Amino acid sequence: MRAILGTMLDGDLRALAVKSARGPCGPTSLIGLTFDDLTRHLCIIGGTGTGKTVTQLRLVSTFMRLSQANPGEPPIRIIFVDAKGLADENRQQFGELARDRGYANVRYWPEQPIRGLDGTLAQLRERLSGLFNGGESPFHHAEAVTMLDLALGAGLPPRSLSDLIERVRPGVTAALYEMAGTERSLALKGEAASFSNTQWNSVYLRLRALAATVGDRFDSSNAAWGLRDVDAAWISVPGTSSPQTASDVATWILAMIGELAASPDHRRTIICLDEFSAVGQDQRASQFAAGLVERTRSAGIAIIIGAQTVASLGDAADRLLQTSGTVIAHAMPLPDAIIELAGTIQVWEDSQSVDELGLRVATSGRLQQQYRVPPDLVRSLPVGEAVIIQRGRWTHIAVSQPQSL
Amino acid sequence: MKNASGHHRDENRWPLPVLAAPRGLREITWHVVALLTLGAPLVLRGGWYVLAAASVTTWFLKLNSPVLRRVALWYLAAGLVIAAIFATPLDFPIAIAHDFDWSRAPEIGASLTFALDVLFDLSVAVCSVATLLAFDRRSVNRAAVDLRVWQRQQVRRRQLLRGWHRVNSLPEVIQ
Repeated sequence: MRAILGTMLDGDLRALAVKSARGPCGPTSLIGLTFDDLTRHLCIIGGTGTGKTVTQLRLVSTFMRLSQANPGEPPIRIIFVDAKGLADENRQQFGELARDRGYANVRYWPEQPIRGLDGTLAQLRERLSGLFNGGESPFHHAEAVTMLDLALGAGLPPRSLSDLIERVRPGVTAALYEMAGTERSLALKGEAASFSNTQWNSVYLRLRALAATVGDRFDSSNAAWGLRDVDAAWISVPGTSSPQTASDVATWILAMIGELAASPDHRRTIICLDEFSAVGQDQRASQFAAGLVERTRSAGIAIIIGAQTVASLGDAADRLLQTSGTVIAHAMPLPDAIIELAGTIQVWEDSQSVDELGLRVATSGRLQQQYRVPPDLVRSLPVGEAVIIQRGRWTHIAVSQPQSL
Repeated sequence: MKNASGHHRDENRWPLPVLAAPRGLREITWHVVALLTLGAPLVLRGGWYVLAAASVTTWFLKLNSPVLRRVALWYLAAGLVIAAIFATPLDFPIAIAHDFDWSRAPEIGASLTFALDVLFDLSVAVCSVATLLAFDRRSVNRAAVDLRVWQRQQVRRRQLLRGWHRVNSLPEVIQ
């Protein structure tokens, strides 16, 4: 079964084309994607207001419908990360679509806290160590991760960010190990005590600053939810109002999404990272996203990344573009990096001159490489139209709205 | 140059002319006029030689159509003047009429007939060359025209499909 994205207007990407009823110019082709197409990941690039989010919502809507058409299987889990954090209308539409398609367990962050401190110690350390990877030297990063490791291992795993913050106060971790009294804990106490108060304070301040903005939104409570349990989730990262925090939050959430790949349920999942530009400039988020795109296919996780330009995908822009099986380009002023993905075609170009009597004479000619996708077409795409590039083929489509809109 | 896939362009060879039947009233009219113009000097006595001379002169002197038309008028005027001097001006049209049936006017002397014939033949030949030079000889770049037609058709096709897309609600899932 294919999820229909829109009407094919032009191009040679026949692999996604589905013949429809007779249209104005003979049989009309629609563009339909399978879940397998999505697991090769998808990048949606386009200027502001060109229809990126509507395209993503259409994909969400159609794949939710696809799940509805297969009642024997668990619904495709859909996690929509809005990195700009402003799109209330889109959030509402997402909720309506999920309700309409029979999705039961739908959650919203930050309104409902996520269990950000669940999991093994190794997973926790991995998530939190990402927070200390923003510009620190490798030595200081290793130092911070070691202190975090010691703090996480002291007593029971922390249930909340404030628990963890208390542990990284100078002397607290060492005291906890001393209270345990075992030979191993005493050895670890010595290790914890070997770090100076200044070193513990640097970790404390980093976590304290994060807690000041996210509060208890990552704490484990009865109302909190986990990514593994939900059918659909909308995560709103405050990329516009608090860009610094947004990068930390995005890094944390992307690390949790990466853990889904190791989940034993192998449930099909679609992750939409909309407005990635808001966090893409942060090296950690960009690298995390690239890692996800490169490694999650076999786990049945499809990543859809929406960004305004190629540059806003951050340091890992090349990795992201080249590992995405499908690229959807909405209107943009500088489309060269995108249309290169569709490759070139050979065109014979004659050179002619006009002699004194006005006769045109063919003087020479050559085989010229031209972009397969006309650059001016991408520059002038109307709102709601896009160019899809997949495996060196392309198509120009008019994207349909999600049906409940 | 020829290889397994057929003829290929060779820089040392001239491109083959594209021969196409005339299309439309304008092109047909031009072709009829060109044929008549080429035929007119040939029916005259000695027309071949004069036409060849006029063509070679035009080629070497790089003359254009307006200049040639003026030269033709000068030849006619010269004929009238010579006829007026050595006989009467009306003898010039008589000599012209006899020129078409390759006969000689008995009332005009042989040398005057020859001179008037040559002047008239020259005038007609130069007019013919001028007309042929004015012929629209621009060659059509078929590839460019085909490309433009294709692009226009694609634009129209996209417009129609956009309109169809606006009014038709697509299914969300297809088997």
